[in-house]
Amino acid sequence: MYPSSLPRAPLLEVRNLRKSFGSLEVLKGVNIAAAKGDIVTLIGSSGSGKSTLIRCINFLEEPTQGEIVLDGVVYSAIPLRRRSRRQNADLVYLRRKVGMVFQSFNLWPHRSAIENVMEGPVQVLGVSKKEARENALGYLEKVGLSDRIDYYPSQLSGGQQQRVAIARALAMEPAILLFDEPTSALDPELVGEVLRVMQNLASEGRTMIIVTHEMQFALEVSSEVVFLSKGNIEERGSPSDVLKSPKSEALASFLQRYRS
Amino acid sequence: MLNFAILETGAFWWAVLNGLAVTLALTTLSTGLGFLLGGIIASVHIYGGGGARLAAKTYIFIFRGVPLLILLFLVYYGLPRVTWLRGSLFWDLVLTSPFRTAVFVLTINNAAYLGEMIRGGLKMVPPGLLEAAAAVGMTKTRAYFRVHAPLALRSILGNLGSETIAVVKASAITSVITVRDLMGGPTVVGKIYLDPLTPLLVVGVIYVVIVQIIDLGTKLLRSHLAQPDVPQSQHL
Repeated sequence: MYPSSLPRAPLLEVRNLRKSFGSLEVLKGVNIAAAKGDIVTLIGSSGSGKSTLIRCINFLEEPTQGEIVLDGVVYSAIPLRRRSRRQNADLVYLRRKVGMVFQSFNLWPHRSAIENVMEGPVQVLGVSKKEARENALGYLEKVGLSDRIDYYPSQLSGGQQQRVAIARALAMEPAILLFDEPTSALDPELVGEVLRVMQNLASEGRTMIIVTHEMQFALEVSSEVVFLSKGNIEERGSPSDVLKSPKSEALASFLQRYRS
Repeated sequence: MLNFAILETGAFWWAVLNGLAVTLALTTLSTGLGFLLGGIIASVHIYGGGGARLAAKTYIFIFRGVPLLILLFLVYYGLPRVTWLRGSLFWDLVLTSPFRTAVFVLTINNAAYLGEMIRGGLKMVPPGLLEAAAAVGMTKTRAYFRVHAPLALRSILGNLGSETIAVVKASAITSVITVRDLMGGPTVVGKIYLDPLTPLLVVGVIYVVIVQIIDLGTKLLRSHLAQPDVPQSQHL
C-alpha cells in the first residue's frame, strides 16, 4: 500500500481516514505515511479533500472514521462530543507534537511577532519567558525576521506574517509540520520568501506534510507526491513520476491547468 | 423667577458631593459585577451545551426586555413580601438597603446588556485565530483566556464605554427607591428649600461632565489596547 521506497518505520500514519460533512463524504478512506525526514506533498483541485485531510491530522477537523498514528501512538476518530476528558488531553498532546501553518497565517493580532512565537512554549510547554524569548529570537532569525520582532501582525506583509507563523510552529519543536496552502493567500511576489524558508526546513531534514499548488516547489522538495481527487488518492509516488508522467486522466488534466 | 438661594447652602453641596460618590459607586459596582456576570452568560452562550445556552438566552431575553423601573419596583417592593426569603443571605445582603438593592437590580440588568455585547465580541473573533491556539496545543480554557476573551474585549471597548455612560444616567432612576444618589440627594434638599429646579440644573451639568470623562477614558484605553487590525465594532 505504501511506496516500497520507505524503508523506515513511519513517524506519522494516517489510516483509512474518512470524513463526512453531513451526507457529503469528502474523504473516502485515505492512507498516507511519512517517515522521519519525509516531505509528503498533497495536491489536487479545490474540493478534492486535501485541506480536510491535513486538518484531520491534528484533529482541527474531526475525522468521521480512521486513525492517526504519531510516533506509535494511535489517535482514533471518536464521534463528535463523545470524547472523554482523557481523550481530549491526548488530543492536546498530539497537537503539541504537530506544528501547523495556515493559509491565512492566523497570527494573534494583539501580540507582537515575538510574542506570537513565545506564546505556545510559555503557555503550553511551561517554558520560562526568558528562555522562550531567547528561543523565539532564534526562530525568527531562521525565518529572516530578526529586525521585525516587535512588529504587530498588522504591520507586517503577508509573506512576513507567514514566516512568523512558521517560526511560531517551529517554537513548539514539533515532530512534524503541517502546511495548509501556506502561499495561497500571498501576493505572487511574496510567495518566494515563504517557499525559501520551507526549502531550508526541508534541507534540515524536517518531516513535513504540505498542501500546495506550487508544483515546481513540490517537484523539488517532496519525497512523495499524493494526488487527491474527490476524496480518494488517485495517484501517488515520487515527485517526478507523479508530476512529470501522470497516469490518470484526472491528474493529467489537473496538471495541464497549472502548466499554462 | 428662578431663585438660586439654595446654591449658598452647605446642605445642598454636601448632598451633591455625597450623591456623586453614591452614583459613582453604583455605576462602578454594577458595571463591574454586571460585566463579570455578563461575561459568564456570554461564554456559556458561545461554549455551552443546549441547556446552558437556553438558560443564557432566556436570561438575556427577560432582563433586556423588562424596563429598569419595573425591575426596581419588583425587587424593592415585591421581594420583601416573599416571606420565605426572610433571614436568607439574599435578604440580608440585598433587600435590607436601598443602595444594595439598586446595585443588585442594575447589575442583573447590566449583565443582560453586557452579556449580549460580549457575545457579539466573542463571535467577531475569526475562528482561525482559535484554531491557531488549538494547533499549538492550548486547551479550550487557555485559548479562551489568552486569545478569545482578550480579542473580544478589545473589539467591544467602544461599546463598553457607551454602555457605562448609559448606566451612569440610568442609575438616576434608583432615586425612586430612596437611594440618595446624584439625582436623589440634591433633589430632596431642593424640596426642603421649595426649589425643585436648581438642583436638577446643577446635577444635569455634573452628569454631562461625568459622561465626558468616561468618553475620554474609553478613548484613551482604546488607543492603548487596540491593535490596528483587531476588528472593532463600528457604532460607539
